[in-house]
Amino acid sequence: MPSTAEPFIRARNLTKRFANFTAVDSVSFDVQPGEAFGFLGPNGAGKTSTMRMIGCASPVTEGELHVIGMNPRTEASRIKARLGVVPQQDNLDAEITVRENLLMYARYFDIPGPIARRRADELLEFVQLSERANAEVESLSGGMKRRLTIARALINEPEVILLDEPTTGLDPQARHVIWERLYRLKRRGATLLLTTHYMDEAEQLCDRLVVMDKAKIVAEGSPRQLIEQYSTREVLELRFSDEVRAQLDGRLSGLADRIEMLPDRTLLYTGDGERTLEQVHTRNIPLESALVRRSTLEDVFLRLTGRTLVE
Amino acid sequence: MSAIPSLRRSSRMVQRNLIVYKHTWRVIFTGFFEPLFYLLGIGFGLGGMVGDVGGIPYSAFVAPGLLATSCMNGAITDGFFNIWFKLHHQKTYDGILATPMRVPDIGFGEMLWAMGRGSIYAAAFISVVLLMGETAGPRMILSRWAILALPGAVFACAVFSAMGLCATTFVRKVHDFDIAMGLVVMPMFLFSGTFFPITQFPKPAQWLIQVLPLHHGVEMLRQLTTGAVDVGILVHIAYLALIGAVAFVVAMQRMERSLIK
Repeated sequence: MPSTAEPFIRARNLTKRFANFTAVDSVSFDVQPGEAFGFLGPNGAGKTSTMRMIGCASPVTEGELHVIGMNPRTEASRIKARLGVVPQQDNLDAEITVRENLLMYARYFDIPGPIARRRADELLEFVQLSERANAEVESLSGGMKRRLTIARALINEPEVILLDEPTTGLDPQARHVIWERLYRLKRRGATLLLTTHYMDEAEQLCDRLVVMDKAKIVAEGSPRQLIEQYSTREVLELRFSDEVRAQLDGRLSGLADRIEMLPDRTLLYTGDGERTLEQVHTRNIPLESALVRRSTLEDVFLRLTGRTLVE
Repeated sequence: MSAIPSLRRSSRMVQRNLIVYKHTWRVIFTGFFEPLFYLLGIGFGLGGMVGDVGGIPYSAFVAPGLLATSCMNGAITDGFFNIWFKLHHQKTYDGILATPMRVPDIGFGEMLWAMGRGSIYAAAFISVVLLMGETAGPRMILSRWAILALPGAVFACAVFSAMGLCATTFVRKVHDFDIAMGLVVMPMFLFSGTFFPITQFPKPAQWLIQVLPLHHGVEMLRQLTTGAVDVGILVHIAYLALIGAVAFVVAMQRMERSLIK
């Protein structure tokens, strides 16, 4: 995505070291205004540490970081005034009600009372929590807490919204509600930064993303570019019985661009899944099941790191 | 890289705590009744058997001690326990730090809150002591200097709150609270000259007691309510100010390190 605009976030050789390990190892990236930018990777890849540095919640160990043209080291409060942060772990104020959480948060941003009250009501509407306005935070479900955390992050009308695993731990329904709300924010022109280890989340929401593994960025591009570059158009997923599987040696060779043997299934990377499946049949290999699907970012990740994304 | 707290931002913490207390306002009475119960039980009950201490009625001796103690207990409830849970369990401060608020704003704000709350308790306690002394006797406010006992108590609240804030940054497990309460707070409460003059102890023990901040809080307030004011009060004030300032600076550095990492 070539752009002449000043990037909203600019990282050069950004590094985060803790006492005995390196969480982020010299990563560089730019995020343009209005972009939805993702960090995809397994747990421990360094996504959260990167987000925390951008959110001024963690000091930069080394390298350069600019957020909306400012340096987190010296201008943290001014940066934070223009960010909205949805942390991985909800940290709502458990001692006050849902609506008070929004009103009090507005006070931390020096937003005057009447404006704060109007925004709080609009945001409760936006995240579908109006009926729970006076409820205790503790009485909310996980999905509701997440939505409240998102509403809270929007109280200052932020230019950049940081979302650290916005839907981890939620049931599919709650995830879809959140995706839909985030999609609306994106259409309104908000700049979104999100970390995820769900490839479908990254594919749905991100214009561009970086794949992180072991503290480094291993690939960068739009979801489509990454799939084109690192995977084939289609994937044939095969399952064999244990006996067949044990005696497979070489019987699949030449059928696909690349073959990936996972503990539970075998993936054949190919341009045309149906045709490959026919060829498997002509070789008389007994199958338990077969599935042709399009390549996803999961395949990209597997290709790049040799491991699957989630556990 | 601890910054100087901003009064405007710190006052947000007071606002926040006021909202919390709106929901749990009954708790606010405990801070008022606690020293009063001690006064009734020990000042009058026990005091009736004791008679005078150093030429003043026992209840007049013990009342300023209880005032200082209530400042300490308020700081322990709010500054020591509550802040630890906000820091480690509820992650309240992490949420607040995603706004323009900074660690010193939060810390100083919590201290302002402790001072505000303490001043209400102190004013209530002093009024009740005055009223009881005038109506039922014996008199416990013996001098006009006592007017300064209110700002004195607020000052003590600030100092103890800074100490509570500092202590809480050293607590790793809930279990640590038991140790702190049993081995630090309890002896301080009993031996600081709250209930009897420290001259009851041998000299070396007295020196040890003079290190305890509560002792200086008690002596400062006792001078004011009894009118036996001498230059020694400046030593008490200076010592408390020093302890409070050091505790606050250490607390802010340690909170910064545990929150911004």
